[in-house]
Amino acid sequence: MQLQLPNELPWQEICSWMGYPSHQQPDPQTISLAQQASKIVLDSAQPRGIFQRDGLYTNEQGTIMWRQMPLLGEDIDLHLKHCTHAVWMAVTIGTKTEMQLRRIAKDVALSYAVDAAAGLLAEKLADQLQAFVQEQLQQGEYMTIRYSPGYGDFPIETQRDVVRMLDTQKQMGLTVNSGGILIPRKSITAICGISNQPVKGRLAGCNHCLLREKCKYRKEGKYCGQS
Amino acid sequence: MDKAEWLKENKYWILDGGMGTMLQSLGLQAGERPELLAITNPQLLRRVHHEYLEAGAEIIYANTFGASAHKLEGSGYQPEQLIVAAVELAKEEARPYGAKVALDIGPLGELLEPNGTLDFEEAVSEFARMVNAAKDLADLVVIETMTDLQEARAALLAVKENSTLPVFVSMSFEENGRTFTGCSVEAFAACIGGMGADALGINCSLGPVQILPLTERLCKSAPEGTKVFVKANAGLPDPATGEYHLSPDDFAAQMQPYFSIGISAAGGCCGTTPQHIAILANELKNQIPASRQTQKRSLLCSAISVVDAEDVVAVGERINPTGKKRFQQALRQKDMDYILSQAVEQTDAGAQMLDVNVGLPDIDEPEMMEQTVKALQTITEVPLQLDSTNPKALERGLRVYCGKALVNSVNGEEASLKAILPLCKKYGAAVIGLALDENGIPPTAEGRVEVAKRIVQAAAEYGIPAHDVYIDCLTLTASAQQEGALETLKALSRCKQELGVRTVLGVSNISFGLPCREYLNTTFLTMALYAGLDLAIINPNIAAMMAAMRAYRVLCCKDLQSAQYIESYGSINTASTTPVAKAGTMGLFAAIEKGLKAEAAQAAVEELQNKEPLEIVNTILIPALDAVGNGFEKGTVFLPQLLQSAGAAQAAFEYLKKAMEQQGEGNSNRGKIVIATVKGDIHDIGKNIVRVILENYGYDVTDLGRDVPPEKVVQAVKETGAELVGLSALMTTTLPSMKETIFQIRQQKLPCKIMVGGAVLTPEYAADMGADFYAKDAKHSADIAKEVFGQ
Repeated sequence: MQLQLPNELPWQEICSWMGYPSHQQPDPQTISLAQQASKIVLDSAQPRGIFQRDGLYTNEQGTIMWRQMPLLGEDIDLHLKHCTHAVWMAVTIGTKTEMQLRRIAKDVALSYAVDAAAGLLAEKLADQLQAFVQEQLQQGEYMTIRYSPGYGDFPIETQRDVVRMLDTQKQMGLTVNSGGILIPRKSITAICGISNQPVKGRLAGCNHCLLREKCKYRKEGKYCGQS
Repeated sequence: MDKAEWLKENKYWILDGGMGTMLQSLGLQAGERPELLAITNPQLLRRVHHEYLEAGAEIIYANTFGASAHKLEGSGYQPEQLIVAAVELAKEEARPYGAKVALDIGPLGELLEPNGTLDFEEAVSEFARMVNAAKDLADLVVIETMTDLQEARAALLAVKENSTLPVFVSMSFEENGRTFTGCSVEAFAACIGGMGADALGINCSLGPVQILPLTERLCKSAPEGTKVFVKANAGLPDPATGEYHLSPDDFAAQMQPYFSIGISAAGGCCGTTPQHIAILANELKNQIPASRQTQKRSLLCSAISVVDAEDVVAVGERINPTGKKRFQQALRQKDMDYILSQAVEQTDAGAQMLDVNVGLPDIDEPEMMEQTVKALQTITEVPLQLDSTNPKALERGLRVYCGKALVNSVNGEEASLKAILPLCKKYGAAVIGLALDENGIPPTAEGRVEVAKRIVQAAAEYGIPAHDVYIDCLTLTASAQQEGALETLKALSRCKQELGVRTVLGVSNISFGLPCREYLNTTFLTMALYAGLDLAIINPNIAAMMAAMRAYRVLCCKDLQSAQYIESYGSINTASTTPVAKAGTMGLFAAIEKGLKAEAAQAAVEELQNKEPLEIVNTILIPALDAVGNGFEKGTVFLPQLLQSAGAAQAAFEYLKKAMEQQGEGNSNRGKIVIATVKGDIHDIGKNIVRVILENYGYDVTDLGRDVPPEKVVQAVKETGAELVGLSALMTTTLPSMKETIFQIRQQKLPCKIMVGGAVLTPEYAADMGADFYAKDAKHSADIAKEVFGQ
């Protein structure tokens, strides 16, 4: 489905993605850089998203399964606790922004800002799709927040299964390369559990995270699941 | 026997309907691999084929859509096993009906370069495996549901190079007439039609109503003699369930308008069933297809951008080493960034196509042509004109070029025609024909038209139509042959009127040897346009040249309501077209610290008036960078600011470097470093930042780019003699390829240090992989370089 582009990407959020701590007011030049990046991204983005819902079950080895896809790791186990169904969703901002990024590669400050803005847009699109999925729930159903492969101990290799089972190449032009990287690069796949009792899900803690020693959220006493 | 003979019959061909839809209704789970059924449950496939044949399908697609090595990875099966089984069983079912069976080829599931990382030749050989498995069994090949033009090209080349089977190609478009990767209907028709597909079509993604306007466009732009076909979905899917609801009757009703626009084959895609096909077959039985109103359009394209030579087209001439020292140096040093900057500059100035000439006697031109075409495609979408006299260079460029290129050039000599026209045919390119031959340039218009005629004739013999031939009647220098200018224009007008060709001229040569060349160039350009010039090869960076093109388009009613003219010049105050602000008060140190590019460049120019460039680097530029770097380490300067400072230093450095080169003091070089983002990884922003910072400190950095195989790193270290290598990887999944790269460098006993960096790396992991240094950020990489090279 076609997702709506926001009118602008807030510079405050782009600056935060660029590594400014939340308590620090960026200088005017960086703000203008963020605004320029927002325009480049919004002018080139071709947002798309899809989702599919199916039941969850546990196989003989005790692994949680969605269709023929094993959902491995302790973190995803916790996230989907009490859930009977799950929705896989995928969003992308398309290939055109990538070409813009390559075109401006010599200007490192701008390309860093555009990269941040593009990542932010992908998250905003995922928010939008998640809200849409939420609206489709039956009465008495509850949904967790979204959780993506690569976080905690949920293997990034799961991307490969998601791309195949959702047929994302045909539906939205999303593929995965031999290194498990989604292409177009600014894309997100995520799973939300559905339950008939209130659930929130549980995002990966920092224990399994590879970035735990350098994470800027953690330094500020937060973690990446918090917005 | 011509294997495509049967296709020449003037009738509608009924294609089958959805395979996945049928299999799912018979119990296949979503996400299961349908290709395995050829071995695990052949009866199921036979049943589906049988139902479509009963419904009236005359061409059925074997169940091989995803039977590529790529897609079968992890399934335990090889393409050959599944393809032979699937095609054989389809043939057995089809035989009693006299129906044809197609080897069905779908996308590999991984995007090709430049959108993705899959290598073009790797894709060609995967498709070739599929073709070779089926070529003695199938009646034709169908390449379908493609969204990436480059992938469709790879598949088509594989078919053409490995079999003589007829081939249908269809792509999937969105309602805006573009695929997910931006390929337009016209680019598809020009490129894939040009490469000789027997039929072009549209399948999947949309229902008959939405595909109709796109098919109309395809019918208008597909080459003469090429069939057009369509396989629409049963309407649009329900977003929540993914199910299709268009009934067979409604489907047939919505297909009605197609039968008057010139298609010759139809079937169905997702959601369609034998019932849909039965009604369609019944309708079309005994009908003769309406003739297709083809337009002889002279289209040139990349995947995304199409130019039509019916309008005048500005071709940028600057990617060419002739008479340009800086460009020659870039070619010898394989400085792709410089070449790309020439492309960006010209397209920003308004060039709609770019001429690409990378020939120098002392370089490997074929290799350079391939690398340049690949690199250009990553940053620009304008169509390219490949300019060489070396057929090998042309072939290497054409092979990787995604779109319909223009080859520059052939001439009237037999040898030239024989060597180059077959390449143009194979890769679907148009061609420039120079109106000269072994006897030189004929002095009269008459003589040049004669040569042009021979070229057009030879092209036709290879199946290249006149509207894909662009005759260059050759611009002679007015200072040497003054009467030649009018003769050239006379020849140009005659070629266009008499031969049905397009025309092209390299304009700038007219003024060689005379002062104020711009005056002569713009006037000659205007005269040539009025005489019928279609493609003007010019320097678009000269504002007056682009202005002449734009003004001409207004006066010839090509730019309606002068819209584009106003867009280009509406906000320009002609009194102040030369800006160059003279701010000047800010020092270089402060400009770098504050990250102000223009001010830094200006300050560098001012400093150069009293100081030597190297002194400026050592006493101002590097201390300023150090100051910013220290602030970054302390947490008072943030990454965006550090980068803006780096950008400002970069802008200043350009001027300092130029000054050093002029003084022959080219020795700012503090040491050689090779950097790369490792194989499989495409995250290159961090690596780019490292490069700029190292360059600002005066190191000679060879940047190999992203997704770089270990062998290429080893080769570059050997060639440059670099003492330091920087490797970047962002993902856990690409760390093994970093490890492999380090291993290969060590195995070759290359005397270099290795530093590594990237989000998921830690000092421990870096040491474990055998790296000498772990760089936690870009600033740190400069510290490491200082340690390695001293000072």
